[in-house]
Amino acid sequence: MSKKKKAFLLLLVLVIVVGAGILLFHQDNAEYVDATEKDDVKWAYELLSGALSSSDVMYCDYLEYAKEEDGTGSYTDGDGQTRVLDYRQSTEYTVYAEKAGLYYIQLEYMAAGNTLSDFSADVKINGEQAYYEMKTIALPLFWQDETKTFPKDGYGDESAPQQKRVDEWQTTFLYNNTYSSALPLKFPLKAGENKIQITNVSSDGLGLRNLTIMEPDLGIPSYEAYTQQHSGELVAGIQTINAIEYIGKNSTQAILQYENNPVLTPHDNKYKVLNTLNWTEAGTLVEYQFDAPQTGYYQIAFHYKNNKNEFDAFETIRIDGEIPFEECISYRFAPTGSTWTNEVLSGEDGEAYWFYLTAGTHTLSLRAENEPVSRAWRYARLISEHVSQFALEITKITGSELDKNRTWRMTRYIPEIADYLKAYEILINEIRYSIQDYTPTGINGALLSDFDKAMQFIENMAEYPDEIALYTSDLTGNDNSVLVALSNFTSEILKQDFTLDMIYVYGDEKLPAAKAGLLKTVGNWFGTLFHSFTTNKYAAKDVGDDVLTVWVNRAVTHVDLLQKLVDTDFTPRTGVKVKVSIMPDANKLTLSVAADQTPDVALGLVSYMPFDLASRGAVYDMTQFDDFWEIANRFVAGAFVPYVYNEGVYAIPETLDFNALIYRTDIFESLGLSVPDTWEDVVGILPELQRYGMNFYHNISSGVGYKWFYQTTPLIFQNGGRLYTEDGLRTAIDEPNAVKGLQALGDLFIAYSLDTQVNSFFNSFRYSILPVGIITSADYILFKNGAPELEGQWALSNYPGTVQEDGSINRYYVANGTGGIIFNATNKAEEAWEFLKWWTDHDTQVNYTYTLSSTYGKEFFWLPSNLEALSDAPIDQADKEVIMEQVKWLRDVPRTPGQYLMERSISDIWNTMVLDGTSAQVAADEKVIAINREIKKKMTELNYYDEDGNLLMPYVLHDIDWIQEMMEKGKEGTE
Amino acid sequence: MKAQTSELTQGKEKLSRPKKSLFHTEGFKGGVLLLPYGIVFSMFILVPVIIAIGLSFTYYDVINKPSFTGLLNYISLFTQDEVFLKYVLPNTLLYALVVGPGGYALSFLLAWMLAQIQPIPRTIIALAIYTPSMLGQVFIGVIWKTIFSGDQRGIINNLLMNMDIIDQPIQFLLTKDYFMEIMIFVSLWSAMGIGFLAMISGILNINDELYEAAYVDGMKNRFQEIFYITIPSMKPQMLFGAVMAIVNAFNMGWIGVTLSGANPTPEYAGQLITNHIDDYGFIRYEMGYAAAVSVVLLLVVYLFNKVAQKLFSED
Repeated sequence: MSKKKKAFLLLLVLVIVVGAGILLFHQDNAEYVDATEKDDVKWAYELLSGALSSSDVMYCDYLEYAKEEDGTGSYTDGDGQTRVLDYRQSTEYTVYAEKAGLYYIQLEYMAAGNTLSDFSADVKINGEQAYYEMKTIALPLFWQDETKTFPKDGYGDESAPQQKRVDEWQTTFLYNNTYSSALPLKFPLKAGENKIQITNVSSDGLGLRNLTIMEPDLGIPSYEAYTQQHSGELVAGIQTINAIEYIGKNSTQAILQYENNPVLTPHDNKYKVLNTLNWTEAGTLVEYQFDAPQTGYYQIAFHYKNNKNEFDAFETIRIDGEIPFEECISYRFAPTGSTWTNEVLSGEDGEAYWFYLTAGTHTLSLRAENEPVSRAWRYARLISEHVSQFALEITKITGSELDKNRTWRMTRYIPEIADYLKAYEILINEIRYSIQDYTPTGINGALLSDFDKAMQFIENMAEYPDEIALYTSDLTGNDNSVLVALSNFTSEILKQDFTLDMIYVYGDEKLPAAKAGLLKTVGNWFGTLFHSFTTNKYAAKDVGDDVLTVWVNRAVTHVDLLQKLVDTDFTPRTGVKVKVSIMPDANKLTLSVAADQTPDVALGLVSYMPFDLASRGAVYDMTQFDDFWEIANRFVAGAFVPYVYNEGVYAIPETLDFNALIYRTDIFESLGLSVPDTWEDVVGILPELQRYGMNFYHNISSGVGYKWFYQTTPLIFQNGGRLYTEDGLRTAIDEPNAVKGLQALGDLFIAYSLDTQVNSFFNSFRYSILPVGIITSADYILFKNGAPELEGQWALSNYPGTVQEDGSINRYYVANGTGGIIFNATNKAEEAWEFLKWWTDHDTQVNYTYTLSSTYGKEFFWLPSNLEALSDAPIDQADKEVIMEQVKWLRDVPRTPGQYLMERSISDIWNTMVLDGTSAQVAADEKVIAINREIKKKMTELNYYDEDGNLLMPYVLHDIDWIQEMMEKGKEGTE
Repeated sequence: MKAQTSELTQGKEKLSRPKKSLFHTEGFKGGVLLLPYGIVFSMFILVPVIIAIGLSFTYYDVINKPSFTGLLNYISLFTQDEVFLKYVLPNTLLYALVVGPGGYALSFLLAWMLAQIQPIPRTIIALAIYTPSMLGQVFIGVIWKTIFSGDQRGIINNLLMNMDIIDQPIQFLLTKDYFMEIMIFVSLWSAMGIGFLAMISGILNINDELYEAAYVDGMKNRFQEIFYITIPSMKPQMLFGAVMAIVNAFNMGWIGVTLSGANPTPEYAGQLITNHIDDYGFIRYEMGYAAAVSVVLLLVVYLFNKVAQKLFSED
């Protein structure tokens, strides 16, 4: 017994010692590196960027190495005339510069159309672009809250108000849309006449007026000079500005949030009250207004939270639109983790800055900045681009099947190996040096620690440069390599996570506490716990008989927003009251039908559900509404296919999904490949790709052993095949065209060696193992938001098609979004139909799309099925063009009873084809009997056959042609 | 053990002899004490089982009212359901026989081996062996899918390719070739559950004097120790372990679904009877048929339990 106790004690002591040790060391392990020689950095930069097949000069390189002088004087062109630019249209300004040199450019702009996404412009000076940032100049829209009394939803929670676009002329200096500089971009002009061409590269309706060039000097003094300009004393009193009270912002991504923390104002632990403002992107500008009671000096403090992983956030502070002194540029806000703190704007020595304000109203603005890290980001990006190309070069020599036993003499083929590695080391050291002061633990900071490993890899390779062929996985490997370290860094470093609660403009006053005391915190816990028993949010419950009940199979955010739109728009317009409830599990619907407690409408159903319910008579046939086919013209015909049962249509599409080809532009360029347009083209580029150990990704290789229709059937449709015979009673999977499609799909894997399983296309794409592949809309969002380091290095293209006999290309793809249904048991069918019409209407959908993104962030992506709404959705114009073209080819699989067996049979056919080498015809023939038997069995259940197998009534299987035909009729009906 | 029980029963008889009013009878008291369990048991187990048996004689599509079809479900199960006869039944039997008795024997063996070593390492190792059975499906899926992943980055494929044994990654979880074996392996790995713990405690509770006495009586080796002393002394734990192993073996259908990512498993290679029930109940909406299959499952499990009881019961 005592032995046990002793052992236990010993263990306890050990744990405590180790724990304490870790804590102690953790706080004390800041390390720093020394600066690198400027010349070395220059050498390394020039070596690497010179070696790249296509290398961009970034703005910071340009400033560093081009050494242009500043220009003088100013000149305006434009005469106050408005020029409206649509997408890809351009205009030209002529300006005269007094002398050759760098100038600021100021531009007046305004949204002329109805777009709700930010503009960006491509600027060329005399037909040239001195640096990369000139391709995407930011011309952001400005926004205001429609109301500052935040609307309450049905549960008493506050929700973010509608965002209102400010339609006024904005005069702005030009910045890049990544805001890599805190001060405006400088543009090189030659002496005399200069042509400045501005092209709209975002969305339609950019209005432009005057353009002014001026000497690049804003006259911002240093703090020392600033204090000498004014005299006075610190004023008494404190002005508080709540972060939610902003008067304007330049981004919908500055988002009002609620946090249940008693230190925030306002605070409530029963209902959600919006109390903080959060932003994550550099360039986000938020403006506040406040009154200074008397002339004199003030201090400024912020109650904030910087949740970025052990890294400072940078904000430029402007008062009345001007930066008061240099120290206000990219002011550093230390990381706080998830806690709150007060930051008094002050110098390195801890002395608070004094701001001179005259009595009266002033504005104060914060803008998130990236400049302090932009050089580090730039070098990291340069190395990752170079590493990818370098690894490719090595593979060109060694071939994709590496012979490990051979003695490699790689320096004979690539003499610069040692230099490259040296350059990597220099630049990584420079990256660490330039940002190590922004994190409390120096180079051990969370964002920088990956470089340790990268350095080890590089040192290791530098020791044996001849054998670098054996170490390519350390260069670009998927799990742990130089490239992975750099990619992680570049994708993280530009993000911020800055949340603001209060701003204090004050004199000699003491600031309110930054953190809640223990008592308050515990009190709040209990309060929250208590209220959790009394809330009845989101429950699907009985409501009055005159209320239309809608169940939504989506997240709470969607439910809240929909209810709000209904309350503010639909109900006032039609007088129909609607109760929107969350339905966490769509299977609940089946049970509710069985229990006879259905809602009137259900939304957010995956595309197979309406058919299952419809074939059992639970769902309302929408063709009973006179204007159904007219309304149907809002959507693509293919989206209706799974909702058809006999002559009826039982659901209306809400959202869409698309399949498209995504490819790495940098790799395609360096290998000289063209983007595949058809499957033949895909096969054509495979040898070249595979020679470098790369491959094409087909989405059938993702995930699980069971292959769904969207993965297996597109090629059947593209080859003119079909899944069912005309009467819908037998499968047609063994017909020649279908077999041709199946074989084509199988051949990709059998004859052309695509990977049969891919764990994460996202990562393989990032590390250029699979530089091209097929993605869905969910993947698209992931690439868009999850891989900022690849920005500009990939593009979308249409889903590969199959060339038809007449030479046209058929691009059918199978994918579907979600749909909405009306239940048969409803006594408010007309109202329900009104509701669905309103919901899928252009204005509602556009409003919903934008509000979703501006309330919850742009990761909340909504792809409306309404085509007009889709064309107004906030998607990059180039991508949108691909998507708009692609959704025309949407063709879902027609549903019939016993469908599941069809789906799994095709899945099995693919499996036997690819893994056992059976031919498509044989594999398909084997499945036909079972499928037909299952269809017959189900048809018997649904009373199409009697028990002896006699057909009682014909079953009608309508495919896309019928829908198109009916839609045409619907269109004629309106004309 | 035996002596104690008989004493207890004698005691009971003695106590219940004096005649009293109904409220004071032993039976009533016992009934009251059993009531909470009884209510919960019948609400959540007995009633659903009865309903399931009832539904198994109907056609029920979840939405419309069930219609009585007699024994049709059972007849089609054994005469027409190709998948059931060709894949599900053999799979289930193979799986249950290997994972049930196999896992059972393995837990006993491990428990016995652990009982031979010092307490502290024993606790640590027992915890390590027990942990997999506590992991959720998702966790098991993540671990083993990474290990058996069918691309070059799957751990096993990567090892084999590095050792130049194969050129192309093997599709462990996509083909029928290895699927059942992997399922069995993973199940055995996570089979050391509560039954295993019971066995350790059973072995550790055996009185050492029994062994000593047996050696005096001429026992020669450890094998005899196991068969003549250890197992007979821990029959209750053995029975408990056996029941747990059987129930476990028939209910582990989710393993195949977790590993392959979908129901049905590739070409029905890992289709067990519980997957078949899910398939019919929730994919094909044939609840009546699914109920019939689950009744068959119930009977099979019951049968196996009877066998286990025959083997290990006290009398």
